[in-house]
Amino acid sequence: MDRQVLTLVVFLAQAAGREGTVTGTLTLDGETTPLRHVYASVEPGFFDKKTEDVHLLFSDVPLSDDTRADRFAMIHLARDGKARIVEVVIDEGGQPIGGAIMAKNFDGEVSVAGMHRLTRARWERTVVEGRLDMASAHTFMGVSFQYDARFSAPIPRPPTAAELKAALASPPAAAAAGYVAAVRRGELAGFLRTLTAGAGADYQKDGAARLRELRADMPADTRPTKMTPQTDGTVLVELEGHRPSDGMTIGFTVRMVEENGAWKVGK
Amino acid sequence: MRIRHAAGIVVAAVLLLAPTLRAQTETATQFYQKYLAAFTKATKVEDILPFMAEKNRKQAEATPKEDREKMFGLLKILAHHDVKVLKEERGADGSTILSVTGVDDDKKTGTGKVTLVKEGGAWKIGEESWTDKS
Repeated sequence: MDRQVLTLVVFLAQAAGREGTVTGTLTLDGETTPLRHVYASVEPGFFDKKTEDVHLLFSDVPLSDDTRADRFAMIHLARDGKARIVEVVIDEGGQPIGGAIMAKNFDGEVSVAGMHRLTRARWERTVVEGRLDMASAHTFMGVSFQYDARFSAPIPRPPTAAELKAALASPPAAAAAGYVAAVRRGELAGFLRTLTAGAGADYQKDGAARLRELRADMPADTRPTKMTPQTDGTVLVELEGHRPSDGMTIGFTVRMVEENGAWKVGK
Repeated sequence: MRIRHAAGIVVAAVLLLAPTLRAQTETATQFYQKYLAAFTKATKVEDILPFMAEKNRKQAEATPKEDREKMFGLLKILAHHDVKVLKEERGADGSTILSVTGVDDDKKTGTGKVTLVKEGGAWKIGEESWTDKS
């Protein structure tokens, strides 16, 4: 596979994947709940900050970025019976070193350690796959619990310099650069070719004047600096340039959409 | 005589056009800096209302005078100083978001986002939010 396309695929997978895939169950006092959502993230190692721990969250309901970032929000959801969550922390050596179960049965959260079993299938910088389970049910606070989950979860990370460089050479970013070049040329027909049909329709009226306005506003050194794939398949490309009069950084964000096999600037 | 009269018309036309041209060429950063200067001198909320987007202006005007004064006092307390604009980000809807940094009364550095909108061809303050770095 072409390296640029591969990079884009990885980026897209990471975007989609703030969530991974999981099949599994959590059983509390004999009541079994399917675990349908898994999220992986990394944090500095609990015992050694120079290493990284992988945090895995399994849940029966989707957990937004904001909820996952706020432990109390997750505990409240669990206490209210709105979510059942299993958390397992795995150190850099692949050992589960701790975890928690959040559920109404525990009036929120209990820490559980020493019973997690991890079977790693794939353990890489940007993705973890395997199985986490318990050999047998345990009881705490009078509640018996057991879980079993087979999972594959991407680890969202900022791209490395090499990944960023490759991403910025990928088809959506190259198309965004083509859009900038078309703006700089100031020729309407060529500019419209860089837009999706929907976005182009907005330039039916006063198109030339609006393009002149955009051209005047967009610094000559504008270029793609960052791209963020979205879960709907589009890619947000951030563009930056510097206004000559005061050196101010001027940013634009364009949504790149694949239309008839070509990446174009959409609405 | 005729020449002098014509020149007078040209001067008048230039003077009439000048504010419009200035408004068109004023950058978002320049407008915000102008607003900050006005805010520093302001003694009542009415002094900064001309800088506000219509919805904010109407909201302020609809607020009872006593509450308006309290609100303005709070704004003054929470204000940041030595504000610098780091970046202008164009929005798809024609707005511009300024990334700003400044220092509060406790000498804590904060970062903020200021959304500017165009109303009648002139910049206005839409929203402003700040977060202090801990």
